[in-house]
Amino acid sequence: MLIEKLTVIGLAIAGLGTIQEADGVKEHTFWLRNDGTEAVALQQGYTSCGCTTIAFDKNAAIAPGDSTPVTLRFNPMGKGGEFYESGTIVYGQARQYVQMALEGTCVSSEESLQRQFPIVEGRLRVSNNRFDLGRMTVGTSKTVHVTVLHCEDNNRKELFAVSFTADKELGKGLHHVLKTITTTDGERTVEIGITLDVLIQ
Amino acid sequence: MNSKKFPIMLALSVLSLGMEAQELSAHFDMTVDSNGKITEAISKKQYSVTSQLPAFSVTSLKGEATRFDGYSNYVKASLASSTATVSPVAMLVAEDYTNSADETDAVAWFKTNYVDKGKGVLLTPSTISQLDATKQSACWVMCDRVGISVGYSNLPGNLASASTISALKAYGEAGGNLLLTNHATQLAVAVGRLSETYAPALFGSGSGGQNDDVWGSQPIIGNVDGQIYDHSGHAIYDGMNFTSGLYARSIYCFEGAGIKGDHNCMWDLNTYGLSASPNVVKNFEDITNSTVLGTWNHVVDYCCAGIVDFEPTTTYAGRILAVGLAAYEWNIEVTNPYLDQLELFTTNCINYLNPSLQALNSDALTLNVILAPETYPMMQTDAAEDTPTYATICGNLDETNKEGFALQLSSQGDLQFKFASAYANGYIYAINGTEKLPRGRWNMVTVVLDKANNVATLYLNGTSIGTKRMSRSSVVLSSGTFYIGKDGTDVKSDAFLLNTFCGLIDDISIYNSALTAAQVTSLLPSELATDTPSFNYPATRYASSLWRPQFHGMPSGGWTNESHGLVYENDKYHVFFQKNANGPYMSRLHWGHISSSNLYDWTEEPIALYPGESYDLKGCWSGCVFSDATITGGKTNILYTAVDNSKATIAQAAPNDNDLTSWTKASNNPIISGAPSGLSADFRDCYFFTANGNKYIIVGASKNNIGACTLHKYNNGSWTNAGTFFQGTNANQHGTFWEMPNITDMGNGKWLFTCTPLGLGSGVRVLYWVGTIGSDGTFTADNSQPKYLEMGGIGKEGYGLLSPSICKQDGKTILMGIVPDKLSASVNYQMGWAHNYSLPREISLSSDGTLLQKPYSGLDNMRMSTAYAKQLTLNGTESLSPVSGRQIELLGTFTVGSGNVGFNFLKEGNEQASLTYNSQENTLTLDLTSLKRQANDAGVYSGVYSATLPETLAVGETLKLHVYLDGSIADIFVNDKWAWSVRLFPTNQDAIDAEVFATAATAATVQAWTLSKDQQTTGVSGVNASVTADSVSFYDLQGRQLGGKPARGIYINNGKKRYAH
Repeated sequence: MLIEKLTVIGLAIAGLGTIQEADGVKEHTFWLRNDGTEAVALQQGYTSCGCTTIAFDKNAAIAPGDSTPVTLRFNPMGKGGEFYESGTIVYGQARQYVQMALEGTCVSSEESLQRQFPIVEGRLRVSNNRFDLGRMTVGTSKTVHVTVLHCEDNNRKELFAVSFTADKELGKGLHHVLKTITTTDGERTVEIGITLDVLIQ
Repeated sequence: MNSKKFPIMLALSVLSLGMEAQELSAHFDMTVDSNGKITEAISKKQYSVTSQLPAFSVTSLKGEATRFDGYSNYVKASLASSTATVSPVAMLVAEDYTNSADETDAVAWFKTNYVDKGKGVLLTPSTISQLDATKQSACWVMCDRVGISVGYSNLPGNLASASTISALKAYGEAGGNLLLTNHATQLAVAVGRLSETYAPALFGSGSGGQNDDVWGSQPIIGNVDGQIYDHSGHAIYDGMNFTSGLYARSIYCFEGAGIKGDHNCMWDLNTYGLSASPNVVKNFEDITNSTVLGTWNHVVDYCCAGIVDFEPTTTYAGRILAVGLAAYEWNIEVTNPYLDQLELFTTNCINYLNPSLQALNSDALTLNVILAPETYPMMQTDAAEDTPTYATICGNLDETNKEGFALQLSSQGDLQFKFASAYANGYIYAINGTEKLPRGRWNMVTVVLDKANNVATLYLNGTSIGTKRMSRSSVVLSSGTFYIGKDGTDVKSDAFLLNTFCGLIDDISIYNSALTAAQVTSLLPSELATDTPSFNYPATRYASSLWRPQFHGMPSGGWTNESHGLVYENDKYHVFFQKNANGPYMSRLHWGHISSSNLYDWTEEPIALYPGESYDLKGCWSGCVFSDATITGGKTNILYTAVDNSKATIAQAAPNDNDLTSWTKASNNPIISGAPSGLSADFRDCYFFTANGNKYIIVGASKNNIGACTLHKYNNGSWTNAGTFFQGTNANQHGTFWEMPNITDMGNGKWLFTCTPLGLGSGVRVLYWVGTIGSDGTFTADNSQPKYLEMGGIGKEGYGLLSPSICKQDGKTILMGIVPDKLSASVNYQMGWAHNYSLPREISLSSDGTLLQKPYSGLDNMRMSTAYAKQLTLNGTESLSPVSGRQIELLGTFTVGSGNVGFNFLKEGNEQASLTYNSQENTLTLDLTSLKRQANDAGVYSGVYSATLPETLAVGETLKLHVYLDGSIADIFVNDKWAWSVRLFPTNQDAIDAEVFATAATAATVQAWTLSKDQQTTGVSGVNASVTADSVSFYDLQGRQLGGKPARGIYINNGKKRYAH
C-alpha cells in the first residue's frame, strides 16, 4: 500500500510573541518530514493572507524519511493587533495538505497609527470624518464606519457605525449631511462631526 | 451549456386607479450561454405592486409570486431588453496592443463577440473621440504588459496621454461605465474617481513563468464572524463554476497551468493606513464608496482587493469595475482549460455595466410564465361572453403598429398568444390553445417562437395545446410598455378594471432561444401539481382598516353576496357564499367557501364551484348543501342555481374530499331544468328538506307577481314538480319574488319558513312564517301574516341580516346571514372587500310560535381577561374601562324603571354610538348621529335606527341588552328573544371608549369584555359542562394543572372545556 504523508516536525504553530510593526517582516521555517512510503512532491502552497508568503522547494521529490523546509514570512505592515496567519502546502498525487501558522501580537507603529487615524480631535484621533456616499435613491440606506483612537487610553479603538437613509423629505440633489458621534475622553463627553456627501436622485 | 444569470434593472411603474403612478424597479434575471448569448430572462418578481391597499406577495413554488387582485393592480414595465436598439460597448486598448499577447487575445474575442455582431466598437487612443457616454454605456479598457512600471502615467501606447485621460474622464463624468482590467485599473486614479492615496500598488509586470496552479477569484472576503462578505452570488460571477478543493475556499477559476505573467495591479489594503477596525476592507469600501468583489484565490482574511466595484460618487457619475487580479489573464501560451470561465466572467462584467446588450432574439424566443389564476378575467359584467374576449397576462403587443407579443386569457379560460410578425410587412398571428387554463392551481404556460423550424407553439404544463406556422418570418419586437396583469387599455365597470388577470403570477421568463419540447418539459417545477396556491389576502392588507371585522365570517377580499349552505362536517363549520374574486362588485358568481371550528375564527377555503359549464356560464348562484343516504350516498352535496345567459336551473355537485374544498359537478346537470309553468321564469335559490319520508327541493320564484316557492319531489332518481310549496298573498306585504327560501324543522311538528322577498313595500327584509308541512310536502302557515326576522322597524331597505342560512348541530339551531354594508361601489373599491356575515344566532320557537334569537353560546370563548363586571344601582353614566376598542362585548341586565338605559360605545368626547332603551315608549334606538362615520344610510335611517320592542316590558321586568361590536358591524340581542345586526363605519380611530348609563336609578348587572378570535387557546371547541365538585383534575387554558377549586372561569377537564361558577 502506497502511503503519502508529510508531517511538520515539532510545533505547526510558531509563536512570534509580541512584535513591533516597525521592525518589518518576521519569518519562521518549518520542516516537513516524509512519513510515508513514497517520495512526494510539494504541489502548491498558499496562505491565509496577502501579508504572509510561503516559500518552499517545488521541484524537490522528498524521499521517505527525508525532510524539506517551508518558510512563512509575515509582513506586519498595517496589521496591528493579534494575528494568526496560516500557510498550506498541498502535496502528493492525492493533493493532501499540511498546514502551519504564525501567531502573535503586533504593536502598531506610531507612524502607522498616525496614518490610520489622521484626524485629531483633542486627545482623540479619528479614522475618517468625511465620506462620499455617492448617488442614492429615496428609501435606500448606507452605513459607514468610523473608528476613534483613545491615545491616552492605551490606544483603545472604539468603532462607530454611521448610517444614513435617503429620506423623501430631504429632496433630490446634493446634500452634505452632518452626523455626530459621541464618545468620552476620560470624564469629558466629546462630540465628533462626520460629514456625509450624498447625491439623492 | 454553461449558463449564467445576470440582472438588468427595469424601470417599472405600477398603476392603480386614482393614484399617482409609482416608479419602481424590477429585477429581471437573464441567462446567458458561454458565448455571452442571452438564453433566458427571468422576472424574479422583484417588482412591487401597489394598489389601493397594501400589496403582498405569497411564498410560492418558485420563490415569490405577486397577487393580482383582478380589479385594481397591474404592472407596467419598460422592458428595454426587448428593443432592437442596443447600446454597444466600447473597448479601448493601447495603440500597440499587438505587443501584448494578452491584449491581442482579448481584442480578438471582443471583435468576434461584439464588434462583428454590431454590439461593440474597438477604440485606441487615436480614435477615442468616438467614445460617447450617450452611445456606449460601457467601455472596457484593457492593458496587460511586461516591463512597465507602476503608475498610470506609465501605461503604454498613448493610454496615458492627456487626450486619452481627458476623454475617459469626460466619459465617466457623463455617466459612462468603465471596466478596467489588469494594469488599466490604475486609470481609476487618472480619471479622478479614486484618490492617488488609494492607487493600486500591488503591482507586477514581470515576464512570468510556468505555474501549474489554478488561479481565479475568491469572492468571499474575510474570516471574522459578522464581517464575512460573500459576493459569490454577484452578477459578475453568474453562471460560473464555483470550484472547491483547490484552496481553503471555493474560487471562480480564470486560468489553469501555463505561463503566468503574475501581473497584479490591485490593492494591498494593509498598506494604505486603513484602520483595522472593523477591518481594512470595510474601511476601504466606506472611504472609496466601493465594494470589494474578489481577492486572491487563497486569501481568507482582510488584505488584498483584486476586483473592486467603484460606485458612482457625488462628483463622478459612472461606475468603474476594476479587475486587477493577476489571474485575469488572456494568454498563457497553452490552451487555458478555464478560458470559457474567463470569457463568461468578462461577459458578465460587460453586461453588469451595460444591461442594454441583453436584447431579445426576434427569430428564436421562448416565453415561460408560471401562474395560478383564481378566476378568469371578467371582461364584462352583463353577460357571460359567448364569444370570449381576452385580457393580457403579460406582454407588449401593439396591434396598431404591429409589434410585440402578448400572452392572453379569455373570460372563459381560453389561452391565446398573439405576436407581430414581419410577414407581409406586418401581420398579427394568434395561437389559440385547445385547452382552458385550470383555475385554483399552479400552471406553466410556455410559448416557443421558432423561425428556423417555422413554427410557434403554445404549451400548457408542458403539453402542446396549439401551433402556428410563422411564414418563415421573424417576430417584430416592441419597445413599448411591457404589461403584467393587464394590457394598455382599460375596460371598466364603475372604477373596477375588468380586463385584468386575477390570481398569482410567479416567474416570467424570456429565453433567447427556441426551446425544444423536451426543454419545455424540463422547466416544469416539480411542485407544480402539489403546491396549492393560496389566494387569500393576509390580514395585513387591512391593517389600517377600522372597519374590517375580526370575528365575523367573510372572505379574505373581493365581493361576497349572501351566504348559504351552513353545515358542520369533519369537525368544522362550513359556509358557502356568492363570491366574485375579481373585485368587490357583483358579477359572475362563484361558490366561495369559508370554514371555522368555532363559528368566529374563519378561514377562507378555495373556491368550491367555478362557472364554466354551458348551464352555469354566467354564474353559480345560491343554493344549499344537503346529504341524503339515497341521493348522495350520505355525503354532503351542493345544490345550486346554475345561470346561463337566458335562464336559471338547479344543479348538483359532489365533494372530492372530506374537507369539502373541491367539488365535481353532477354529470346529469341540471337536475331541475327550469321553473314550472305558471311561475315566473325567474327562478332561483334552492333548498332541500325531507318530510314524511319524502325528499323535496323548494326554489324561490314569483307567482302572479307575488313571492312564492315551487316544490320539487324526488322520485326514482329524478325531480318532478309537485306544485307550489307556499306563496304570499299580498305583494306589498309579502313581496313580489322570494329569494333564499329556507325551511327548518323546529320540532313539535312546527316548521320555520324564511325567505328574503324582493318588492316589499318596506324594501328588502327577511320574513318568516311558522307552520306545518302537509303530507304532500306543502307548507301551511299558522298565521298568514309573516313576522320580521330583524327586530321590528329596524331591518328594511336591505339593511340588517338578510338571507339566513340555518343548520342544526349539537342540539342547537344556528342561523347566520349576510349583513350588507350598503356602501357605494367607490368605497368598496377603496376597501378591497364588500359585505360580511352576521354572528351566529341560536334560534328556537316560543310556545306561541315566536322566533327566539340569542347569541351562539360558543362566542363566550372570545372573551379576553380584559373585562368589566359590576352589579350596581346605576344612575348616570359609568365607564366600562378597561374595556374599549372596536372588538368588544357589552352585556347589561337592567330592571326596567322609569328612565332610559343603555350603552354608549365608539366614544370619544361627545361623539359616540348610543344604544338606548326608552321605557316610556318601549323603544330601542341606536343613535349614530354624533358618531364620525362613513354614512351608509342617508335618507333611510340617517343614523337613527329605532324599533318598538315586540312586547312591552313592564316596570320591574328585566331588560337584557347584549351587544357585540366588531369593526363595522354590531350584533344586538334583546332579552335573548330579538336580534338585529347593523353596520356602522366609524372613522375616528380614537373613538373606542364604552360606557353604560341609566337616566334614573336602575338596578343593573353589567359585564363587558374585550374580544379576540384568537382567545381560544386549547383547540377544544365549546364549553361542554360545568366544573363539578368532584372534578379534581383540571387545567388552565395554557395547559397548566391547577390544584383546589378553581376560580370562576373556563378550564380544561377530561379533555373538554368546562366552566367554573
